[in-house]
Amino acid sequence: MSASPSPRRCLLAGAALALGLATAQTGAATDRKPQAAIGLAASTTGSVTAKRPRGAELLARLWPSYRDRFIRPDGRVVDNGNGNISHSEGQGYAMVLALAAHDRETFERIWKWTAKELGVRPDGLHAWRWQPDATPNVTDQNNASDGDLLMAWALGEAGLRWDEPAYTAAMRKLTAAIFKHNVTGSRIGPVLLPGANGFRPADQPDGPIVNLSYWIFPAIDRLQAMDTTQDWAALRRSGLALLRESRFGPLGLPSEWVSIGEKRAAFATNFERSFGYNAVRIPLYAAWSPRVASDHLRPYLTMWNAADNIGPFVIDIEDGKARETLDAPGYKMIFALAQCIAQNKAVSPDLVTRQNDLYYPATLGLLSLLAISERKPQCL
Amino acid sequence: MSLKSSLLVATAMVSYFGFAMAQTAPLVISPAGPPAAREPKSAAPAFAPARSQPAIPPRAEQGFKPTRQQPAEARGQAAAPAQKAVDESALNYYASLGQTARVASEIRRLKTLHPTWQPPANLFAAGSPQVDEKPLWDLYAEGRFDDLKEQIDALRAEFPDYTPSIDLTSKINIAERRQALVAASQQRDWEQVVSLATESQDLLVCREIDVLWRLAEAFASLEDKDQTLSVYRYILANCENAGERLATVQKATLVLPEDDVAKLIAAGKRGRNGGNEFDGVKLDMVRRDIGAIASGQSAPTPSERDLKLIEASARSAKGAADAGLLGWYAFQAKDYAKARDWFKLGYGASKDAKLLEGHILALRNLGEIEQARTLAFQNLSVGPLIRKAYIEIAATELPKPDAATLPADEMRRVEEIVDGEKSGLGAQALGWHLFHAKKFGDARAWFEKANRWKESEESVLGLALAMQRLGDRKAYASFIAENKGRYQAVARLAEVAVSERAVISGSGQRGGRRGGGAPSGVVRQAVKLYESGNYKEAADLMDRNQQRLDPNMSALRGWAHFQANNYQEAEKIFKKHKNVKGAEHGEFLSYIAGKSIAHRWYQ
Repeated sequence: MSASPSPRRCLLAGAALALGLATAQTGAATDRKPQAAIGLAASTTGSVTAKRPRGAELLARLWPSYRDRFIRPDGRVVDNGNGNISHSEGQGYAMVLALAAHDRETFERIWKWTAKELGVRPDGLHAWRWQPDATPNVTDQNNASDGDLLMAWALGEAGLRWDEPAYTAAMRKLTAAIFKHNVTGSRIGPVLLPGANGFRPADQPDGPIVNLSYWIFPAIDRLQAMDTTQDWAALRRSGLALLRESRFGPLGLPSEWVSIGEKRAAFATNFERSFGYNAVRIPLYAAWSPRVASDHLRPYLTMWNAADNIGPFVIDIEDGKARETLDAPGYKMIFALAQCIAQNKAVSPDLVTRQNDLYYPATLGLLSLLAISERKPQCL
Repeated sequence: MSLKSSLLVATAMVSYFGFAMAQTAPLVISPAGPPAAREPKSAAPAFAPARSQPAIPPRAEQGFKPTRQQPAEARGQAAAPAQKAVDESALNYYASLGQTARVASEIRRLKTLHPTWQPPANLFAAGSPQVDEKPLWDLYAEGRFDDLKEQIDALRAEFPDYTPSIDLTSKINIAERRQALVAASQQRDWEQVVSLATESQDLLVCREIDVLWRLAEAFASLEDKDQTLSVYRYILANCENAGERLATVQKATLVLPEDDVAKLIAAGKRGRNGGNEFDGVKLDMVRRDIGAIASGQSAPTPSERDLKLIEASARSAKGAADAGLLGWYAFQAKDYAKARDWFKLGYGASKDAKLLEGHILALRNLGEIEQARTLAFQNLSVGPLIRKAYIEIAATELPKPDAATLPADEMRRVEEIVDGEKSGLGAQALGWHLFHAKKFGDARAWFEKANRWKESEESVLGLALAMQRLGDRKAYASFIAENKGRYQAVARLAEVAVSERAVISGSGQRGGRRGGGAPSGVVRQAVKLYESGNYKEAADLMDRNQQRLDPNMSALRGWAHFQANNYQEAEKIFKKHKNVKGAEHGEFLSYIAGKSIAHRWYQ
C-alpha cells in the first residue's frame, strides 16, 4: 500500500458529472422497466446555482485514487487492513463503486477476477475468502451473502447501464442462488443467512443467526425492480422487523450477530456482543434506502458528535460502554450520511476528501458519498 | 469451519482496527456548567420517557402508538437505583439529550472508576418504536395511494399491532372515493359519477367543491336539469368561498338555460355598493351572446340595456376587449362605421392587432379602400394579421384591369410582403396586375409562385394565359393538358380558340349598330359613349333601355359591362344572347375575367 498511485488514465471527464438518482421510488407503478441506477450521469451543463450538489463530482475525483490503491490490475480488490486478503464483499463493493464512477473497464476486470477466483462453488455463489499466500488461494469455501448480494446488485445495474444481457443473466443466476441457499423462512418471513453453512438452527444453539449489516437495503430496492422472480419485499420486511426488535442494552443498539429466536431477536450466544465494524454498515444501508423510514436511523444520529469530536465508538452492547473509536474519516461519513438524511445536516467536504489509508473505511466513505448524492445531494 | 470463518471476519477486523485505539479516545466531559443551554437541543430526536423496567433481556415491546410521545420532563428518578455512590448525573444528562456518543464515553469513564458498576438499563428507554406517519402523509399528499397502501401493508407486517391513525384512514378512504369519482367524470361516465356520489354523501360538501361541480356536470350531461340546478343552488346556499361561488355560476352558464342561470344569479349576495356578487357573470353572458352573434351564430339578441352596460365597459380603461366585441358585433350587422369607431377605440387602448385588423376591414367595407390600404401599409410591422389584410386589400384592387398603379416603392413593398408571407392570393393578384399591364413574363413568374403557395383555379388559369401570351406553345399545351381535367376554366380555355387580341384587356368585339327597336338616339348615344371609352355610362344607358335593344345591341351592352369590369353582369348578358355572333366568346372572356379578380372574401 505504497502512497504512489500510478498515473493511470483518468476515465472520467472531470467535473460535470452527477449521480443518477438511483434507488428512489422503485415501487412506483408507472415505470415498470427499471433504469440503471447507481451512478454518474452527465449533468446538464449551465445553470450554476448557488449551492450546486457536488457529491457526484467528488466521487468521480476520488475514484481513481481508490482504484489505484486497492484494486490490482487483474481485478483483485485488496483488503490492506487484513493481511492483503481479498473477499467477496470487497469485490462486490468495488463493482458498485466502479459502476457509479462509470468505469466499465475496471468493473469488467473486477468481475472477471471474481468469477474466476471466487466462483468455485457448484451452487453459483462465491467463496468469501481468498488469501494471496495460500494454496489454494480460497481458504474458506463458505459464501458471504452480503458479498453475493452486492455482486448481484452491481451486475443488474451493469446489465441495464451498458445494455449487456450477459450481466443481467449473471445477476439472475446469482439472485436465484442467494434465495435458494442463503434465504430461509422464519417467524418473520424469509431472512438472509450470513452464509450457506453454519448459521442454521442445526449449526447454532440459538440459530438461525443473522447479521443485520447483511441486509443491503439499497440493493434490495433495486433488485426488486430488476428481478421480479424473487420476493425482495419480504426480505426487506424481515430486515426492518429485525431492526426494530434488535435494540439491545442501555443504548438500544443492535449487536452485530443476532439470534432470530422464537419470539424476539436476541444476542447470538456464540458471537461477540458489540456494535462495531460490521454493524456500522447498518446505518449506511438504512440511510441509503428511501424505503427505510428515517426513524430507523434514530439510534445512530448521535453516535458521532462532530462538534466536540466524540465517537463514533465500537460499543459494548450489554453495558453501553465505549471501546475504541472508529477513527477513520470513512466511518464518520456513515454517521454524517445518517444525520444528513434524518436531520438535513450538511456534510463537510473536508470529511469526504480526507484520506482513508485502509480499504474498509475508504470503501465505506465512498459508499456513503454515493448514498448522499443519490438521496440528498444538497447535504454536500 | 464455516462458522469459524465468519467469526474470523468479525474478530479479525476488530482486532486489526481496534488496536490501542481505546487509549486515544478522549475521555472528556465537556466542561461542566449547569446542564442547560450548552447543547443544542433542537437536533435531538424525541426519545420516549424513561420507564423503570426490570431490564436486561431487551425491554418488552410496548407496541407503538401512532402518536408521538413527548420526551419526559423528569428523568432523574430513573437513575436512582443500584450504585448510589456513582455520580450518574452527567450520564443522565447526556442521555436526556440523546447524545449517544457522550453517553457511551461517560459509561466508559464510570466503568473505569467503578469496575463493578452497571449502567442503568434502558438509558434512553427507546420505548416502543413509533411509526412515523409522515412518509405516509407525504404519499397521501402526492396522491400515490397504491404506494401508500403498500407502505401501510409493510408497516403492518413489521408491526402487527399497527393501525394507521384514524385521521389517515378516513382521509385515504375519502381520497380513494374522490379519485374514483374524478376518474369516472374524466371518462364522461356520468351514471357512474352520480352513483359514486350517491354512495359518498360525505364528499358532497363545500370542502369538496370539485366533487360538487363534477356531480352537477354529470347531472347536466344526463340532461337532468332540476338536479343540476339543485347542486348549484346547494353551493350558493351553503358555501362561502367567493371565488368558488363565482366559478359555480360561471359553470352554470355553460350548462343551464338563461332563465335558470338568472335564478342562480338572483341568489347572489348583495355587495356593499348594492351590486350583486354575480353582476360580472351577467355581463359575461351578455358578452357571450354578443360574441356568438358577431361570429355569425344564433344567440339571443342582447337588450338595449345590456348593450349599454357593455358599451360603458368598452369605454372604460380596461374595456378594449369589449370594444373589440362591439366592433365585431357591428361588423356582423354591416354597420361598418360603428364597427370602425369601436375598433379604433379598442386598438388605441390595447394595441391588439386583431382590433387594428377590424379597423382596416371596416374601413374597406365602408368603401374607404384607399384609407384602409394606407392604414394597413403604415402598420405592416404590427404583425402577420395586418400584412395579410394588406395583401388582401391589395389583391382585391390590383387585378382589376383598370387598377391604379401603385407608387413604385409601395409596389416593391407589396412584392416583398407577398414573398415574405408566401401568400398565394397576393402572388396571384400581382400576376393579374402584371398581366393586365402586359408584362407577361413577370406575370408568369408570380402565377408560378401562386401555384406553389396556394394553387387555385384562378392562378392556374393565369399561368396558362401568361404562357399563351408569351407564345410558349409547348409549355402551354402540356400545362393545359395537365390541368384541364382539374379546373373547369382550363377546360374551357382548351375548347375555345382564343384570338390573341381578345383576351380580357383587348378592346373586345363590337356588336352591330342597328339598334333594333330602341330609339335611334339611344343607340347612337350608347355607341358614342362606348367608343369614347365611357363604358359605365354606356352600360347604364343600355340597361335602362334593355327591353328594346336588338340582339346585336344587347351584345354591345355585354361588352360595355365587360369593359366596365362588371364581368358577372357581362357574362349573364352574353349567356342570354348566345345566338349573337361573338356572344359565346364574350361569355367566356367575361368568365375568365371574373376569375382574374381574386375573390372578395368579405362579400
